[in-house]
Amino acid sequence: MSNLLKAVVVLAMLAIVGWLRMPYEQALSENLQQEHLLTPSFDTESRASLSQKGFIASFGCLRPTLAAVAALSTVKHHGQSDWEGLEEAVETTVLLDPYNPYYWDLGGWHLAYNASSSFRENTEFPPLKREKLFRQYIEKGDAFYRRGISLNPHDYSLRMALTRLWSSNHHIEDYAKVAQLLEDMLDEVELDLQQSRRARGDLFFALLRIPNRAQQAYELGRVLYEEDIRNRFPSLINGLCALQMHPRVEARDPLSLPQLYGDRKRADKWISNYLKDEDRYKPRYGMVDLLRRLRAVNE
Amino acid sequence: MVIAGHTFTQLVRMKVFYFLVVFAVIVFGLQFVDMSSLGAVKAVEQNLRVMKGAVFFAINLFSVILALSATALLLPKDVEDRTLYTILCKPVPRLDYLIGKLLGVIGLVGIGLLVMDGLFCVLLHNRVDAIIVEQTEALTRMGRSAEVIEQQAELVRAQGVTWNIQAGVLAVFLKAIVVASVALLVSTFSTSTIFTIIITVVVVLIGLIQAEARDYFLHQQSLGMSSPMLEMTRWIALLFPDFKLLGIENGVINGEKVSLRLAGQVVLVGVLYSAIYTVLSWFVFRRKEL
Repeated sequence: MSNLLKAVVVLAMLAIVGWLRMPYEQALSENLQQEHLLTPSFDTESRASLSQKGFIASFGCLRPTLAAVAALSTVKHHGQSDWEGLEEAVETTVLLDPYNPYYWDLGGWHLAYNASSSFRENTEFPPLKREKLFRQYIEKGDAFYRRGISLNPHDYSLRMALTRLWSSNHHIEDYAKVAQLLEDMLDEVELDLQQSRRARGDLFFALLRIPNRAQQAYELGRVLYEEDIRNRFPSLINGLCALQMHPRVEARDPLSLPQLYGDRKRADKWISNYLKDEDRYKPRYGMVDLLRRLRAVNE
Repeated sequence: MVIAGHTFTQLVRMKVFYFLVVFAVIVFGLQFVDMSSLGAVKAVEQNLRVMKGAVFFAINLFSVILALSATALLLPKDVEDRTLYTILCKPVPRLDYLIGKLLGVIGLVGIGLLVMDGLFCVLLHNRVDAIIVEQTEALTRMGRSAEVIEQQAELVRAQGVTWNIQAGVLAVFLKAIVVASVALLVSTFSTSTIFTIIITVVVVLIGLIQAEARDYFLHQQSLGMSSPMLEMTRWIALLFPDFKLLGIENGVINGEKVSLRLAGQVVLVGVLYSAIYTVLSWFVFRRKEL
């Protein structure tokens, strides 16, 4: 048999076996991607954006290391306030290692906190433009976090990072978004006891700050209060106390002051602190009057 | 088995295991990597992910190069030393000769991998322990409950030495076996070691993007499209192995769990590829004039 004929037979055999194995390979590849054991293939656009790295990144095992190197370059861009360069660096990082939540957190944090604050404080721009860029980068950070969450839906820390962004009083507080994020997390993620307690506690504090969800806040706060003595932080107690006096809340079997605070001295201290807090979203219905009456009784 | 043992000894005498010293230096150096403070929250698990990523890259590189160069050298060396004629003039079937050679290379790669895996696991285990001790002290100082401390330690442990790491190493081993099988096939009709190495590297490179070609082909075909690109991707998908399927260590690096079912399926793919290339090697080699 000539060498040419042998080569043809080898190619024909490879093609036949290839045809037989293709459906199995495709199904296995999809299963492995679903389990996050394989990183998704690059599309043409992504490969082009990676330029030379695209070729190197074809070596699957090199992708996490390349991602780590790309993530390191964010330090340089951050130091030089080169936000476009930083955006490019974080995009490359997550393209290379999309199932590592740390990189999504890193990118979201840089865009939503560092870039946005840098633009707000940049006196080279007129005030309106500064404000516009500040908001724009917060939105970019939010979008980045959300892309990370959609690829890593079971990651607790990434979801919590996004709730921190929308409840930060140095940024744009949006408690409706925070509540939605926490509710989604409680529905979609299998949380351990500690995480669940934390998420439900945070959901109470978010609902407390949304006027039209006061009833839900009260009901959740009441469940948390009854459930575990460790949940009875001053903020939960004060929130419950204020909600009980809220005109739109129907408080069944409201808790008495001794049940809430234990003694008058503690009630005085905790309510005073609550009222001193400048958080404009917290309900204060009747709290000033309550403190006044409490002090009158004490005197 | 005699041929396999002889091949193994022949390769060991070439002092190929010296690469393990370089590997040890790399793994030791990675102990000092600290990337956990780049973000807003210090994430100590990230250091472990970076360490695992770099170590798996080194393991891949050393195993594949070892498998490729050792296999590419075998046939030309046996011809040059005339040992091939001594073996084949005895009643040794050519398939046994090829399988023996391949098993010798697989044994060599396997032992190299075992040493690398052992070293990696010891250092990773020590690193995890050190991180947990440091973290526990810090959290205790911050007054965190035992429950929180244990939860954090569990997160770190998930990035440490687990069975999933061994599944990743197994996938690397399978990759090396397939590379050795491809190199064996190429060497049966090649005339030089360099040619074998170059062609095998090309097959591996195309194999790394085979999944993308297959995705494109299946997608376009389902849409009823027809183009030269479609034909090209069809032939890539048909003729080349999908090396990406054997790359489950990427998930392992991020701490993902590998189910027994999926690990079994990956092993099946690796064994199937290797079997096909070995049978084809025999087909080319069986009546080859030497």
